[in-house]
Order: sequence, then structure tokens, then C-alpha cells
Amino acid sequence: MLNCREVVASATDYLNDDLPPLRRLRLRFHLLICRHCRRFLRQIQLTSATVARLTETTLSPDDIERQARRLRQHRQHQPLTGDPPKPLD
Amino acid sequence: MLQSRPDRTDESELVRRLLDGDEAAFCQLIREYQPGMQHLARSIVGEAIAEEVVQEAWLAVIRALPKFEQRASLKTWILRIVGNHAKTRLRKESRQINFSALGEDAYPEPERFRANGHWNHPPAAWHAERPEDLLASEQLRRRLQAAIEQLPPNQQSVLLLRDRENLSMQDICKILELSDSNVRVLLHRARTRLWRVIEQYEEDPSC
Repeated sequence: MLNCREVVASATDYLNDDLPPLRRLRLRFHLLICRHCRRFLRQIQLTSATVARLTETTLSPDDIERQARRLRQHRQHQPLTGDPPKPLD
Repeated sequence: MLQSRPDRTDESELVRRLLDGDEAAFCQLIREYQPGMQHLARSIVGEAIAEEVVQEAWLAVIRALPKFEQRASLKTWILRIVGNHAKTRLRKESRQINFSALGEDAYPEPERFRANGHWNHPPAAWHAERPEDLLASEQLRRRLQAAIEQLPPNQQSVLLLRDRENLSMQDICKILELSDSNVRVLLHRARTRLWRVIEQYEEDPSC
């Protein structure tokens, strides 16, 4: 069975559903019997959700209009044709 | 909070409207993607030149749009352009950073565990159960913002792309040109560092 340090080290991979099946099973088994690690995982999930909420940003209509004006100017100087600097997708 | 991935048909339609020069489509593009572009640029080059990087990236997006083949989502494609411009800018400014370096720090601190790997100082219960409970405290909000800004650039970028933009780990690897294992370690370190900030606040808000 995994110990707490190993569970903590695998926490992000576990939450990403990114652990090999056997390790995932061993981790889940540990969680059944360890309330400290269950708490740690809940707190990491809450931390992640809090980062999402904290960094939410909405542009004002003025910001959008200002940027749209800039892009309009770019498009006038640079029609939507031509080669990209390097393949990107 | 979490944004679902836009439907590919909708995205094709948006790209078609952009190529037709539809002003409303450009406003939609700006509204949906510019905040993420700004966050990513800031995390790599810092506040002072992030805006320039975003504007350079917009130019490249406009230039490359006709060649966009939708192998990646539009968001991933645009953020990859931002990432490339930000890293190029760092090199031009001669700010030598090793973007793939993992660094040393990691939480919880080793002494939190016993020799057998079990908790020595386990995490205590938090009063807060939801993000809005935590962020109701202006003091904690400021501490978390400061902690995010103080993260190494690569940790900050990975954290924002995962937790703010809700992108897949594969997309984050492509955007930042980092290996899967590095991205996983960077995300884990960033999250555990912020977890520690919240834990310290929960233990003693005055510290």
C-alpha cells in the first residue's frame, strides 16, 4: 500500500486521472483508511478551484472595443492572407 | 468557473466569420481569449512587457489565421502563439531563464512526514469549504495573488493554463513546449505551494 508521502506526491496525477491503473487502485485503497490524505486531496481540489475563481477576468466593453480597433488596423495593414511565421498547430 | 471546450463546428464557423472580416466575430474572439492571453504573457515575461507581447501575438494570429487547420482548438493555437512570442521576447531581453527547470521547492515540507512516510503533522481542517468562502477574505485574496506572482514563470504558466483555462495536460505541453512529466511536476508544485499559503492563513490569519 502507498504511504501518505507517496499519496501526496501523486495527488495531482490522481486528480488529473493520470495514474496507471494499479497505482490508482493502491491510492484509492489508502484513501479508504486515511482521513488525513482524504482531507489533503479535498484541500488541493479547493485550492485549484480557488485559483480558477481568483484569476477570473472579464474585459470591459471599452477594452474590447479598443482592442477590436487595433485588430482592424492590423488587418488593414496585413490582409488575412500570407504565410504564418512558423507552423503552430 | 470551468469553461467547456467550444464545439468544433462553432469554432469553424467563428474562424470563417473572422476570415470574412466580421467585426462581431473579432469582438467575440477578444472577449473569450484576450484575458487568457494576458495571464499567460504576464506569467512568462512579467507585467511590464506583457501587453506588448499580447499585441505582437495578436498580429501573428491575424497573419496566421488563414492557415489555421483546427488540429488544435483555437484557444490552444492562440495561446501557443502567445507562449512562443513571450519566450522569444525573454531571449531578446537577454533574460536567461531555463523554462523547463523544475526548481527545488516542494510542499508539504519533508518534516511533515515521519520516516515511514506517514503524516507527522497532518493537514488540519479548514473553515472554508468553497472558493468563495476563501476569497471572501481580502487578506487571503491578496496573499494568493502575491503567491501566484511569485511562482517561477513555468509553474505560474502551467497553473493558469490548467486551473484558469481548464486546458488538458497535452494542450499545456504543446503551448509551453514542455514534456508531460515536467508539466505534471510544475502543476503539482504550484498547487501545493498555494495550498500551503491557504493552510497558513487558516492556521493563523494574522501571520
